[in-house]
Parts: sequence; structure tokens; C-alpha cells
Amino acid sequence: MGQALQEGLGRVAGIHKRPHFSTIPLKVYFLYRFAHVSMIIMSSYLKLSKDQRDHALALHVENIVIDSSIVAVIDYVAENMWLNDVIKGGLTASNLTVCMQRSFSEALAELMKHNKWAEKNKDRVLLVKKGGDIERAKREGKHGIFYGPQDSMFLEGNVDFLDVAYDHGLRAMQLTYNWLNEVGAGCREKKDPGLSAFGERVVERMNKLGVLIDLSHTGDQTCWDAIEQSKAPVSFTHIIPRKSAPEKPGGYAEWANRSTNLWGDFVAYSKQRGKPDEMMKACAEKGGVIGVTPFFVKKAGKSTLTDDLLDQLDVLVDVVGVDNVGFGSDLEFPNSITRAAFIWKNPQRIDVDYFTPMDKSWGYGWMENMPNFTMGLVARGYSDQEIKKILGLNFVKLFKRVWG
Amino acid sequence: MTKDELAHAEALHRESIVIDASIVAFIEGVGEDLMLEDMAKGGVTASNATVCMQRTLGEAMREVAEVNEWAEKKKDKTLIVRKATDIEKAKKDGKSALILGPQDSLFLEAKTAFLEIAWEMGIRIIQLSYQRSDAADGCWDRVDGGLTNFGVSLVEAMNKKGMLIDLSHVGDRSTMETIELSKQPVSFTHVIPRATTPRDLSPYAKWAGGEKFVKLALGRGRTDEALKTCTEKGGMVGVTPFFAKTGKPTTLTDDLMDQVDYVVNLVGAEHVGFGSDLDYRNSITRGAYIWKHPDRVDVTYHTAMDKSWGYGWLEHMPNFTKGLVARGYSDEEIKGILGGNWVRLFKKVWGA
Repeated sequence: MGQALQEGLGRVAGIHKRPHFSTIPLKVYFLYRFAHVSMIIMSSYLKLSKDQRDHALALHVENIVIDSSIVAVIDYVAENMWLNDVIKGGLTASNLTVCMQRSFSEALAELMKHNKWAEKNKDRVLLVKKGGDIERAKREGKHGIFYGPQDSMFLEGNVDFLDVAYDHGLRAMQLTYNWLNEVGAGCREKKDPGLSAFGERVVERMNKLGVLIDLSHTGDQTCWDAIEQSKAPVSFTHIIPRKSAPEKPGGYAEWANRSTNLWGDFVAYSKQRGKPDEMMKACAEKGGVIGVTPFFVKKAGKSTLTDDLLDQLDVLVDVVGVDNVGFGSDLEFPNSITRAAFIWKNPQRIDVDYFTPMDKSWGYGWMENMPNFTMGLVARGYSDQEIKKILGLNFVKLFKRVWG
Repeated sequence: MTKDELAHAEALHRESIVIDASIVAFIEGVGEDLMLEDMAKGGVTASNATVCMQRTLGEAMREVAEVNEWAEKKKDKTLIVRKATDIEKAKKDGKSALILGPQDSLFLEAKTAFLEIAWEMGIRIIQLSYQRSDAADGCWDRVDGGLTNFGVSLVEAMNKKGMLIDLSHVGDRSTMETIELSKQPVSFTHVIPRATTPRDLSPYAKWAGGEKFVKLALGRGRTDEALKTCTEKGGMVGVTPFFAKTGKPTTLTDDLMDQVDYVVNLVGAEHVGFGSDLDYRNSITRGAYIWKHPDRVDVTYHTAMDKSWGYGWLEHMPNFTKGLVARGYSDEEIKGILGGNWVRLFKKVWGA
């Protein structure tokens, strides 16, 4: 089906134009259209019937669920609070942000610390080294972890260090964080010179080793260069579409603007972190997967975070198709813990500002409410097979392809 | 204590400069100044904050730069102490100040010349070694070989610069050698005497590893000889609650007072101070844990939530002063122990 016809159908269908219609016959489309009416009525996960809810929960429990971007806490004083949380949330595997240092030895020490922790907790934790390990984690009821630094500065300008990190569990890496580094530019830089000569070597080595290239925080030109030059599919593990970044964001953005300077102006940041349609399409065409993140999705008003997240997901599916999307919480568990301590000290602040971390609809900051995401997918009318893909299978397929 | 005595202790606490000679600070954003609020609530004027535990100067200085940047942004509530009078200024302005004091010297990469950079960035105290050897052997090292060549140079360079030497985690032999070698008074910012280190298991000790914890605690405990020699040269001993809890059903405050009494008896009240050895990162983690598991509030971890002390948080710090009053210390002695003694030492070593 041509793009014009697709767009035409999209107009007929109203707001929920879905490009994978192009692969199905017209009469099926009209059947879908009928279902679509009820979908609009029941677009919030809160409106599910008990049966649908049970169905969603069963789907969630049975399936591989992947969080493609999270910062864990493995500290002994926490008594595995993070691990308990992700297991409670039904997560099968997580991509852990580590190695954000600028010194390779410090970064390596952190990797080793995580590996030691995984070994100590091997009855519940599995260090994922290939795609099949995620299925194994699911089978054995363990939580799989692998490492994906959100920056490449720890390499200290030495591609061979990638081999060493790989040996210790590195399986994904962002080429840049928000800023310029030796590889390329981050999304917050005013000027983006694109992938450097060193960056090209990094991409090449990552391809050779089988390390997933993550471009979530990377600047546009550097992203384009990496997508073009990489022989393997690349990924945006935790982003939203730029065009649908909320113009009037919720209380968290106000809180962030007022209380921290971590991100500068939150709306501007969310647009920088968001990716344009064409780029996401190019990523998907090469077999990449795009993880939608709740981090930027909250709109002003009374909507739940889950529904706001599903709105972004719908847009994303609309752009790249259901086979190329996943989920990446972008949750920083150290922040979750800090905020919980804050709320422990200031109970009256529980439902305000910070991420509405205690928002019962999502509990952003904690993964225990992750099944709400699956409920949302059911409420939006995704089929069981589509839901399985979004929850984890798309990423597993990508990992198998990249990691071998 | 009578009501009058309590009121007196509280007033004394409020009026005095209160110094915590060892904490690990927590300065990040989403906690909305949990640490500063806690220090203010506990009436703490200044804390010596552990920074620079990295092994490279670059990473360490990046951390210090972040702390300085944070302090500049929060300057209505805090400041980084660069000279001793800054502490008096903080008291006057009602701020909670931080002194920057690494608990290891590895970040200097065996170059004393880097002390200059560290000083410039605001570092005023350095512990020569942590548990393991570098400049000096640590208190948990198998063999205590004394100061290394770099250690000797470092002591000399710190003396010259006027940076305070901390020996809290340093091995016995290295400790004695440093005290002897140093031209300036040195300090133990957070210790208890080995002689009075509890041998029985507190609930925290049980949680943290049982007998192994006692062994480590004894390694960290300082010999009477070291405490005496250090203070005879004008140095200071910060008594820490970290290892003070006994297995008895006592409060942490009372157990801590027993340690204070012993040290005062040994070295004199004018050489005694306080160093919590509190790691705010752990306090926060544990606070979140207890938020999730309210049933665990009074058990195991550090008796963190022991209402008599609230170890993990400094908000109950006035209990320390109440304890000092209860033990019969004079107002003058109490002011010294709370902070006056430290300020005197800082003035002498830092030169202002």
C-alpha cells in the first residue's frame, strides 16, 4: 500500500492510524476499524473489565518483559531492593547503565562489582551474554542483566578497551551521552559534527564484537552517521518521538525546572531527546528497535502516566510499526531510593512533583507497577502477539541478531 | 535528666559550634537537600565530608568540582570551608558547612605535587590510607609495614601546606610513625579505642557480618598509646558511634557516652570531638528501605532508626549533648567536645 493511501486510511480511521495496516487486506482493516471504535471508548487502562485485566496480567506474567534502560542499585544496605522491585514488576531482563566514568579502570571496577554481585545472587540473577540467555532467565525465573553504558568516555580513546569491557558483560553502549565526546555529539550540543574518525572505529569494533549501538542521547547528525555506518541494527533504547513530546508537561517537569539543574529546561530537553520520524524509520528499516520511555511523557492535567506513555507508544507504532518497538524505563533507581527516603521523611509530599513516583497508576521510579503497561497495551487494542513483541520479543530478536 | 537539665542541654547545643568530623555527603538533586535539612535539624555547623575516594586525580577533582558547584548554588544554606573562620561564619549565618576530607590518598596518584591542586579545590583534610595500603598501610592490612616512601613525602608535604592529617583507618605502625614524623598535630576523625571496642554483637554487628564485624571493628579501634601520643602533640580524637553499639539493650547514645568517657579519661576533654562516620548514601538507601518495609524500622541496620540516636541521620544529634550533660561534663568541656576543640585544631593546622 502506498504512503498516500495509507495516510488516507489514517484520516478515515481518525487519530489511530497504524502503518502495519499496510500489510493486511482491506476487509481485515475494516474489521479492525470496528474494533477500533471500542478501543477509543476504552483507551485508558483503567477502564479494562476484570476479564481483560486478568488477561493482561496473565500475558505479562507469561512473557519476556525487557527494560532496555535502567540504573540499578546493588548496594548492600539496600538488601536487594532493586532486584526485588524488578522481579515484582515481572521484568525478565534489564540493560543496566554502568561505566559513566571517564577512566577505564574506574569503569571496569564498577563492571566487576556488578558481576560479583550477580554471582553472589545467582539464585535470582543471571548475567546475560547472548540473546538465548534472556529466554533462559525467563525459564529459570531469574532476572537477566547486561551492561549498557550511556556514554563511551570510559574508553579513554582506546577501541581495544571495548574488548575488555565486552569480556566483563558489556553488550550495549551509547555512543554519547548528552554532550560532545571523542565519538560524536550528544543531543544537547548546539553543533553536531557527526561521527568522528575515532567514532567510526568504535562503531566498527562494536559491530565486530557484537555490542548493540544505542543512540538514545546522541545528537542528530551523529545518529544519522551511526545508522548509516553500522553494519548491524542499532537501537534507541529509551526515547519518545520528537513530534509528540508534550508541549505542556506535567508536574514533574515543573519540579525539575524548579528543583534541579540536571536537565535545564525540561521541555527543551525532551525535544532534544526525542527523535524525528525519519530517523526512527531509518533505524527500524535496518532492523533496529526503539524503546519508548515514560521519562518524558507526562502531560499536564489528570491523565495517568500509563496512558500518557501509551499515547507515545501509539505514535511510535504509527511511525515504525509494531515489530520495532519496545520499552525502556530510563529509571534511575538511585533517584527512586533518594526520593523514597525523602517521602519517608516528608510523607505529605508523596503525590506531588517528582515524577509522581508514587503515582499508583505507574509508580514511575519503581518497576513494581510494570503490569500496568501491559494493561494499557490491552486497553489500546493491541493483539496478544503484538503485546508480546512490544514487551520483550522485539528486543530479544534484536539482541540475538546483534550478539549472535 | 530533669526538665531544666534538658532545656540547658538543648540551649547549649543550639549555641555551640557543632562539628561532625566524618560523614559521606549526599548532594544530588532529587532528594531536595535531605542532607542539609538533616544537618540543620541536628544543629550541625560543619561536617568533614568524604570525597575523592577514586584512584585518579581527574575523577576525584571532577567530584570536588561538582560539590563546589552544588555549594555555590545552595549558598544560602551551605558553604565549603576553606579556612577555620568559615566555620564560625557558618554558625553566625545559620548555615551547614562542609569541610572536604578524602579518606584515602590514592587519588593523588603518588604525586605530592597534586596536593597543591587538591588544596586549591578545597581539600583540607586527608586520611593517609583507607583499609588497604598506599601511602601507609591500612588498619585491615595483613602486614603493617609502616609509612611508604610516598607516605613520608606526603606527611611532609601536608605539613608544609597546612593540611590536616587523618589517621582513622591507618594501620598501627603507620599511625605511630606519622604521629612521630608530623610537625603538625594530627587527628583521628572517627574512631573508638580498641580497648573499649565492643566484643559482643549488637544487632547491627549481627546484620553486618557477626564475628567478622567485631574483627574489623578491632582493627579500626585505636590503641591507647596512639590516642595518647597523638593528643600529647596537640592532636584530636573524634569519637564515632559506628562501632560503639554493644549487644546490651542500651541506647546507642549511652554506649557512645561510655566511649567518650573512656577517651576523655585517657587524653583529656580538650582533645576530644565527634565524628559520626555516617554515610548519607546508606542512610538514604536505608530510609527508602524502611519506607517500603516499615516493619524493619527498629532492627539490624545500625539501629539506624533508634529514636535515642537515629544513627544514619544527624537530626537526633542534640541527644549527644544531652548525654554529655547527663555524664556531668561542664559547659566549657561540652562546647569543646561539640566543636570548639576541632576549630582550635583547624586554626592551628590550616593557619587561619
